[in-house]
Amino acid sequence: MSRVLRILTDRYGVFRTWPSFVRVAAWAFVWTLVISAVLAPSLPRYTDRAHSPDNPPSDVRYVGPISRSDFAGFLPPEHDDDSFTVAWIGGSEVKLDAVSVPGAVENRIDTVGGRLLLIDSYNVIAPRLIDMLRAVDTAIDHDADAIVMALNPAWVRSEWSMRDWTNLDVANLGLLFERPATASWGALLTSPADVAWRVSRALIPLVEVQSRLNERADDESARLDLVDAPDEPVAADTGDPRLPTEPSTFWITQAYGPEWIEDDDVRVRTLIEGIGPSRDEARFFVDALVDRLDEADIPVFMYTTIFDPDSLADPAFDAAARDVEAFWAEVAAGIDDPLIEIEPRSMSRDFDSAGLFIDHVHMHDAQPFGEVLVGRLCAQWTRIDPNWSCS
Amino acid sequence: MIPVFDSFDYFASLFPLLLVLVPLLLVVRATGARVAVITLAGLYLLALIAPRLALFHLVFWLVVAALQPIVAATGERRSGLAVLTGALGIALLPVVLWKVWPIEFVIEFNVLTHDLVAWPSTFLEALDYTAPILAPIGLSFGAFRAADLLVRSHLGLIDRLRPGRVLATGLFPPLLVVGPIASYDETEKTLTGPVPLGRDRMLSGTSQILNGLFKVFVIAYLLDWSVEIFAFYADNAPWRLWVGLIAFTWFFYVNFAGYSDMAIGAGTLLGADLRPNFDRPYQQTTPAAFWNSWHISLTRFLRINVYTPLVAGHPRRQYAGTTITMLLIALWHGVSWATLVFGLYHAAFLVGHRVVSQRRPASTSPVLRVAKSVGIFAWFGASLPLLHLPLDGAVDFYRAMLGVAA
Repeated sequence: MSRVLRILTDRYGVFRTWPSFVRVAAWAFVWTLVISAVLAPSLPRYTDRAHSPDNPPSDVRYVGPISRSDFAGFLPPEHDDDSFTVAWIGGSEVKLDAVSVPGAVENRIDTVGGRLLLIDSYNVIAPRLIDMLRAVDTAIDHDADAIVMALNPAWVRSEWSMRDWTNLDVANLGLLFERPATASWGALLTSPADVAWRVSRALIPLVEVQSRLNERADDESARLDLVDAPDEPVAADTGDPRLPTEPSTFWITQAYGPEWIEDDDVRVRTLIEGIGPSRDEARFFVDALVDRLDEADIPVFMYTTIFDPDSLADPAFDAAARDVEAFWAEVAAGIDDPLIEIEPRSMSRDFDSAGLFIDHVHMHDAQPFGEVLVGRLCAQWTRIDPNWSCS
Repeated sequence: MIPVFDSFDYFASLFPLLLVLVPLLLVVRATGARVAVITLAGLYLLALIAPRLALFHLVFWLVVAALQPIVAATGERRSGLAVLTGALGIALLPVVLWKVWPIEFVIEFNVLTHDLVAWPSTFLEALDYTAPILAPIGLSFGAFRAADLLVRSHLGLIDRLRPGRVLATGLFPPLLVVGPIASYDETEKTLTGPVPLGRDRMLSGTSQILNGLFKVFVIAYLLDWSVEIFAFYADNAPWRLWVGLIAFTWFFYVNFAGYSDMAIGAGTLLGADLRPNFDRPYQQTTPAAFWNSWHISLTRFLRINVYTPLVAGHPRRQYAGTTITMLLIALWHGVSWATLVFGLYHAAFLVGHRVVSQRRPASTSPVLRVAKSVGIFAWFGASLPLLHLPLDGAVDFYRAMLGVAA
């Protein structure tokens, strides 16, 4: 390599002089623009995040992001004025494999106020509050007519509400600086790389779509791969149960021992119960989220992720769940905007939800809960505007 | 696999930070202020990875800063060697513990440093909980840089330094994650005053960074599939393992050399004079020339601090000195039977080649020279399974390459 460069330098004077440096930089810039102009428009206009088809089938649109580090964030389609568009925001409790809560609702409502119901699902597995703030911002910018949000029980714990913050999306960057209350956090949590990517994202379309380009590049470079390897990615593993590589798993293991992590039920329960002592940071970001929703001036329905009634029969789990419910009830009590409704209570306490769950919070059948939500949502929308009746 | 970290995440923040640091270091003249800027920049970049990592490096270099004046002051006294030995023991202890007990060390490293970070602030506690679980990134390079500083101080090559100067040396941003193991003299100039950013320095630094980016994001990217051969060798035909190992031998070089180039280029822009870390190793024609052009900063450190003191004035010790040096290079990568065999393998070739070459003059034939370079490539590539697998796994790998069932 260095010999090739030396030959190039000797022969063509690359980088040897300022004019050569400027020439190389100028051509690199021109080519970046040309490639951007050709490639970027051919990439999807809205996120086609890989997902399992809903069962039963639905027309819910899953608008991403591809990953937490997707510079583009969420990419919903342009708003259609002839439709009533609902932004449904949440994590795995909303959509896991073929089970879809918004899908269950979409199958039960055709129109709202005479307009066709469209549901855009802003779905991230294990989301952070900052991801949800970005989802809310994007939904409002795309003129969503209403927002529905599942409140993750982990968000009441500061450490889980901020999990994987080192992946702070470039897409999320501006959010923290747009409000005086969060600007200092922005300074603390934003890396120079985030800023550089954000600036270059604004200037160069290729950077905006880098996640999609990376996928293509990976597909192309995979042609060189001669190694027969399993299709399923192999999880990073230290081979020692005391040292899991994923941060939340590591800290739970340190707090409760390796044997706890082998039981998914216990793991989810531990996420709810938390390991850190403070809720201050969680509450800070919840308040920022509520402030943004307050500004939106559209109907917002937020509900605590519902818990398996079998889990609630366990007094220890029930106590943890009530702790979560109390947190959201406190948040709800501070809201005086009539357009925002929070259901802090796990709605599984109020309908026959036995046998619907595969663990504490994930369902294998979302249809009965969809029925409950249809009633709640239609009631809220018609209360806000009598013309918004569901059919 | 111990948790790893994508080095580019670090450089992705370092490069934009250079837009602030480079002009700042051109205008700030006071040594104290320059030392503060460099130290804070290093800590900031480490804290972006994990607050606990920044704290760890800060404590480590504070300890070195406390030891350096003592070592420098006692260099010419009778007790000097004992003081140096003790100081080296302290500086190298963390890396030795890590290499010998990697799992336990990584767990305790994360837990203890997290507890310290969490102590003053719930914000830091919550933030640090979210950071990745880490091996002590940069410790191998940092420990050897500290050892180099202490040895040179003992020899009288470096005077007593103020603690801030040691901290800035240790936390010099380009060197924190992937080295190289730069000596104090390579960064000293930029600590003491502005280094003019003339055309040559600007172009040299920039082109070195671009060179590194090209190596990592073009060549290494296209070859990174080859890493999988160590995990899935049992599922692959022998010819795939041969091709995969050839590809991995290139990947191993361009990836490491690429990041070294980025670090050296960034250091150049900041006013440091960092020496090259690789010099066309696969074009060399002898084992000795290969090791003098591969991870040069590590080889140089061990040659100066281990080989030369052992062999100087004692020619008969040269083979023992070579063997000990190669074993230390091997153990630097990890303490295991496989790395031990890696060290012995390379020591055997170095000694064997020296014995043979003393008896026969080297040929100057161009064809033979190419053949020798290919041989060096094959000789080094063949040893790489020993760095990436336990000994029984490496044996199985070699058997699989030969089509011999385990």
